Amino acid sequence: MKCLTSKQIQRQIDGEISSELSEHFQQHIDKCPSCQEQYNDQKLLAHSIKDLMNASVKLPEEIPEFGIPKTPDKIKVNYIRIPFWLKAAAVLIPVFFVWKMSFKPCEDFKPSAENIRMYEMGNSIDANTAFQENMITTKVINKDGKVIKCETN
Amino acid sequence: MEQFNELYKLHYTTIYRMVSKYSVSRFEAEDIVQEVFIKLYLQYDSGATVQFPKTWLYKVASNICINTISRRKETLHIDKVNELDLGVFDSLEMKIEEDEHGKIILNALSILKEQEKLIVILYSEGLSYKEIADVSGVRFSSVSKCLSRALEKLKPLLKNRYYEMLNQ
Repeated sequence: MKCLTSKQIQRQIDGEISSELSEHFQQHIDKCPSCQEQYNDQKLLAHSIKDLMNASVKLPEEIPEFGIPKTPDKIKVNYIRIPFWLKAAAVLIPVFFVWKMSFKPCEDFKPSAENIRMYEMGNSIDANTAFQENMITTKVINKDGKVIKCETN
Repeated sequence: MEQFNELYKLHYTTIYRMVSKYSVSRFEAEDIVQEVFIKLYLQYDSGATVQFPKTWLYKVASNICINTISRRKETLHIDKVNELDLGVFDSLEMKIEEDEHGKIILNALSILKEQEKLIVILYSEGLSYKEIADVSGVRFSSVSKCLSRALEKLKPLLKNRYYEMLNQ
């Protein structure tokens, strides 16, 4: 068996190893003088450091009473309770007015044939060109339907 | 809160001992231990449960110690303020007493890396490798390696004391 590493020896010292492996390691340590020396050396070092460290600490004679930390009081917020009907009214009233204004039926608007003709004439003008470039013809017609006057711009 | 009171009584001395190993003064140690238990109290107060209180306490205590020491380094290292002048120690006798107790081992520990120092401290507390791994964050399989390496580093620094014990 190969000699033990310092890591393996440390585990053996601290008993952090399975019993089977520990037995195996111990058998080797008993046989191998260099591993035995290393084992004794490391064990002494570990124990002396532990003892020294614990001896360096002066423990308190008694445990002080625990002072419960003060937690800040919860801030009280006084919410004004708005009744449900008021909330509903706040939403519905503006909605009603907007609806009323948008969908007002135009009952009075009954265009005559003349109005429609005028509208169509007006629409024949190309709105994208300048006013001067559009030729507007004004005709004066008598009762019989004859053109008596004709003007252009 | 009964559970907390039991834990406080059970672990106060243990945590105090562990904290004291981090070259802190007696007053600092008391403050740190108090802070650790306040954290535990608040944990219970909020309704949360701590599964492994012992490991939890060691973990919190080590974090606070590391923070305290690093803060102290930032502030004191520049001017090398004499603690006696500041009245940190009540008297010269007290300072000498503190020095005697901790000087050898604490000076030796200061050469270790933060993680190695923690492992050695936890080891001296008698924690198992599993617990050391949980508190320090080192892998369970690496604990023995880190530990033997750290102890080996301390060996020459504790030479006199070590050989004294060897010859006994």
